[in-house]
Amino acid sequence: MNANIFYSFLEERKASVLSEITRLAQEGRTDESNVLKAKFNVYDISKAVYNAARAQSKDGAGNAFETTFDKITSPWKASLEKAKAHGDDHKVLIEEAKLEAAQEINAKYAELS
Amino acid sequence: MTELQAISLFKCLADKSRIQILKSLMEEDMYVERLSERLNLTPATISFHLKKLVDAGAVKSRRDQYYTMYAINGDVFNVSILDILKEKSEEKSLQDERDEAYRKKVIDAFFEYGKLKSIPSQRKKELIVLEEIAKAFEKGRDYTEREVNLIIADFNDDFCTIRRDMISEKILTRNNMLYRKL
Repeated sequence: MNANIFYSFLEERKASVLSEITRLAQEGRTDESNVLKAKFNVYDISKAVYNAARAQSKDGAGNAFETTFDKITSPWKASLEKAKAHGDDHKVLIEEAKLEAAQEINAKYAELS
Repeated sequence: MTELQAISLFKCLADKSRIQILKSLMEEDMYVERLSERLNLTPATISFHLKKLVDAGAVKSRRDQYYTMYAINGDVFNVSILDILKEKSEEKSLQDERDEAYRKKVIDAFFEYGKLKSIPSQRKKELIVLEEIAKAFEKGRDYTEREVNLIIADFNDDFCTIRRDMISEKILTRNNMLYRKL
């Protein structure tokens, strides 16, 4: 897998989400803008996981990235279900935003692998 | 509406999406999915904002068959901002206590055994001192300049300055050479 393409994808997504964060804040949609900040961080998390996975293996990140990234994102799914069950609408928005980013990243990683 | 309720309402209203939701509800009562389609926001986002609006008292909800319908709470929006500001503040009594403590501190510092030791240079403090001296005047009674001078002289020899300052601070009025406490 070409690491540079994956890095570019992450940087593009970060820039796009950041521009959305800024637009929402400028429009006076502060809460929605703050929720997106959680999504923004997921790209950095995945980059760190990918770098660590690459360092572990000589022939690319392989399955190590998917396994570790899944370990990190699985609790978010559980947290989303818990938030829904308790009617915690704010938490629902945050977990959904994080999982949306995770889904994008997984799809791209699968496509590039 | 209490001060805390007003703060919570104003904070809640400071968001474009919530204002858009309120505008939609002004037209008719709606449920989450209807608002979601109309405003192009996810149902989760709408629910989040509605929860805030309900908590702030801006919106009311009711069950209608399978849906939860949301409606503007007219009572909250019929209150004018001026009425909210006129509400007695929970802080008011504390502020009054602090003002009174400051006043006492100034009086203790500038008066000794009922005599004014010196005229404060700070206007805020001088005003407190002048108001204290004004207690010696009866309200609604006219005084000649000589009477005014004699009363002020009981506090301090510089009765001319004090008399003039009491006029300029609108504690006393002068009309046809007669003085009266306001």
